[in-house]
Amino acid sequence: MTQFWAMFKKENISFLRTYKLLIFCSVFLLLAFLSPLSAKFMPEILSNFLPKEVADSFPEPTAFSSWEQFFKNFSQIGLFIVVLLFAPILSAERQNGTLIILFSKGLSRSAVVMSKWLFAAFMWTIGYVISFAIVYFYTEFYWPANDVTQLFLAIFTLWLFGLFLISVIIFANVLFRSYFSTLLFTLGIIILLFIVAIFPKLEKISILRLATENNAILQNLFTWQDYTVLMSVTSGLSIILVLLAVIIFNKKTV
Amino acid sequence: MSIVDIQHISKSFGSKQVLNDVSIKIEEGRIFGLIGQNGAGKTTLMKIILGLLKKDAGDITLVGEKVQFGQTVTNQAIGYLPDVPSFYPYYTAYEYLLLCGEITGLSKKERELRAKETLTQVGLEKNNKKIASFSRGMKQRLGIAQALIHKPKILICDEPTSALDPNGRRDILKILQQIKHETTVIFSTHLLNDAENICDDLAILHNGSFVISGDVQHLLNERRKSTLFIEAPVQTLEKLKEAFPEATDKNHGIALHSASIEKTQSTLFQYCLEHQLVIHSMSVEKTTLDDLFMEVTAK
Repeated sequence: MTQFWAMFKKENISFLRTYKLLIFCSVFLLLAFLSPLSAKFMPEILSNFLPKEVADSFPEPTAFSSWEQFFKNFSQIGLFIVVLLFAPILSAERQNGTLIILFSKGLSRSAVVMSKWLFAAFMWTIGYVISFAIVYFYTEFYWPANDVTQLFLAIFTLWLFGLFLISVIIFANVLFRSYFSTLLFTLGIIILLFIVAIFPKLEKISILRLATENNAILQNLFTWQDYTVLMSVTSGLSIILVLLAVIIFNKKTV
Repeated sequence: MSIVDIQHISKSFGSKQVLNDVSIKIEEGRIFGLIGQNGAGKTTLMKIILGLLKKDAGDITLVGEKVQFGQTVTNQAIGYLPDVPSFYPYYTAYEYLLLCGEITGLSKKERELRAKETLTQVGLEKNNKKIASFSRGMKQRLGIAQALIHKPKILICDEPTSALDPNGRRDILKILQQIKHETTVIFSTHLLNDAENICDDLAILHNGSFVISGDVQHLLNERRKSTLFIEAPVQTLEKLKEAFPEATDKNHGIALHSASIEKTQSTLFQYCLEHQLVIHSMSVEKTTLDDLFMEVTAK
């Protein structure tokens, strides 16, 4: 446990001093502020450039528009930044040999894998929750009377998808030493998720739904019951990926 | 008591046999030199001792405990300095030592104390800069400091002086000599001069096996050559070569090999008296580690 916390602290320092925290916060905050503001003001801004008939055809922005922007931004750019920033989390250390000295001191390999996974999950959670709070505040401010329901479920599914993605990254980091291979592997998994999503029969295990149906959830098209199997599958797969990462890493030569 | 006991270790990478049934015992409180050419298997053997690499066969016991790959429990007794140590460049030396101390399980107070002590030991106590700005010599010194942070019984250094300039080398060798009373030092090198200067014991690794091992002074004395080296004017040398056909040219003089130095010496003196020859100097050649290395690896 001591080793785990020592490595967790090290991840924090590394993230801060290599300016990744700066990039992470900037992007997340930008996306968070942009979501409600663009929903509110984009029609107005556009109407300055477009003919009146076109501008008038825009629907009046609502709280739904704001959340729509939020989910679009975070399921795409937000997760993309998470992948970019965390893809080298272990592979870079394996490439540079920075773990050799620490392993020679008796550092356990599972402490390394687990601390990195937890750190990435921690950053994703904190960034996501703060961004959510900002969007929530602005949305409630601009559209105090709204009929958005099941907000928690919609938020939770995308968060779980993020955790799954982080588990994939950690697993890829154990398999490959290069940044590029890790990115490619992660991309491969995402493409696989898209392929699974094509088949209606596989709906129950189509993990991609967690990141694409958030707006539909807000409009009451789905409920918790629709996701119980999928959430269990996703959590289970994530745990398996991390456990496999630990097992494989234990056998790897540094 | 031997602190490291290596028994019948073999290791191959693909079809290349790097270590072939290697056995040796290393005694406590001494500096042990692991000598060999580049690629002789020194780093491989060290990594196996550290549990960083799988062995194909054999056993290693460290301070009475067996080494297992990946399970680096035995490493609590070892400090390791890799050939090219890589640190986190965004840490300062002091911060890095605190991290190392924490991983070895030292309490907060202990690791702060030890970090300061080891930094003083290696002469980096006044440095507050990030490791990114360190020179090679400074990184090597920090490498020793991190290896000593938990007062290990054994210090393993992989080619600690090979990449350094003469000043840097002298500093590192001095540090190694200072700590040998508390820590057994195992150090690999292909710089024979360094090994001869500071090692108590050594073993030479060649083609995957130890070709020779033991106390350095003992090995050198055992092989003290029976060679006379004579410097003289050119005409004298010519005459001597005629009289002693076994003589060979060497550095503006001649070398005379013989089974008995005393006998050759008196024959030589007698010959010089009879023929009224004058020589400039005559000396018995000292065996160096270079000679020893050449001899055992030529086989």
